[in-house]
Amino acid sequence: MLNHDKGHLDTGGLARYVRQIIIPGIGREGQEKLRASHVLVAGIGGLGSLSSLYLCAAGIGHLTIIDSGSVQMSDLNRQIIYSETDIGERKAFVAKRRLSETNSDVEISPIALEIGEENVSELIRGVDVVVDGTDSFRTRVVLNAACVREKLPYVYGGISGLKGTATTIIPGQTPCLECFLTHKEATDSPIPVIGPIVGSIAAIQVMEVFKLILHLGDLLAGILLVFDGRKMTFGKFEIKRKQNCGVCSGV
Amino acid sequence: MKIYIKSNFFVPGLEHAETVDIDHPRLTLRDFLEELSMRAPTPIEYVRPGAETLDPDDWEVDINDIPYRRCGDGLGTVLKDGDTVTIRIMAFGGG
Repeated sequence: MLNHDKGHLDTGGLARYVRQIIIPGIGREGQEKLRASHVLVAGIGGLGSLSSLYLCAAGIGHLTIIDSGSVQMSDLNRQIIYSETDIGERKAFVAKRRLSETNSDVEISPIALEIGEENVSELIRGVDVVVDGTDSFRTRVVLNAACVREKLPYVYGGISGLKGTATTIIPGQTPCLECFLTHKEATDSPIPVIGPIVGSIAAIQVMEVFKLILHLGDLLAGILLVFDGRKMTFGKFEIKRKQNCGVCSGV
Repeated sequence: MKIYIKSNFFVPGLEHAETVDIDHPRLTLRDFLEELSMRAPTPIEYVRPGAETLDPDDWEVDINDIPYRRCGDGLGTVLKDGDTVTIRIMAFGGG
């Protein structure tokens, strides 16, 4: 078990995390950094439920999970944190239960609210990293702007059919989401999704969170990663900063 | 023939160039995108082999600020010297 002092591991904690602690660049010190971190997962549908599980299992100290929705039958092909008996229940509270069963040492704050302009600043206050698990560009635009304002790293992920994209936005260093969004993405038509693509992108997002916290390796900072599950290829594209971006220019 | 390029990403193989010079008697948009693919260090599949349209999940392409599908012959639209081709890579919205 872990001591309640954030970041301090005792013997039980070391045993739980030993297989990642032995990774060069993580070690006990890295594990303590994970333990001292507060990550917000915005949306706990496909991407967010899986990233929450990985973050929780790895020993992130405090996880805030936000989703206003309820579990539906059509979620179950990919949102494997939920089961048939959860249908109709609020995702935030079901996910909190499951995550606590996964790792009771992680502080989990479930919030069943829609993220909007009016509450986003309050919701992201005190967190270290924001993980995008939303399925709406309207929400992403709000989160992106708030993260830029508060200079918080924002790990974007998105999927469509057999493809997925991810990037890490670091205010002041990289272009923001607004810099490369296109017109089409502003619409919210139904998007086809399948579990393995969601899982792949969620795993990549969580890896980005770990690297941000641990100062480890190369981030997808300013790079849009495109995973094509049909061809099994990964492409990396350097994103341009939009001139006079209404969100991040001047930051 | 000089074609201007606008994009939301740095087009691989063009470094930071804003124009591409291509010697071609009748350059279609498909030819142009295939030429860009060949100039990239690792070929990029802007156009799937045999496809009549671009995969809308992948790229959004305009010719002189008009979506390519509305430009006469789609991918077969013939480009003129001084035309601007805009290529935007898509960030997906599903979660």
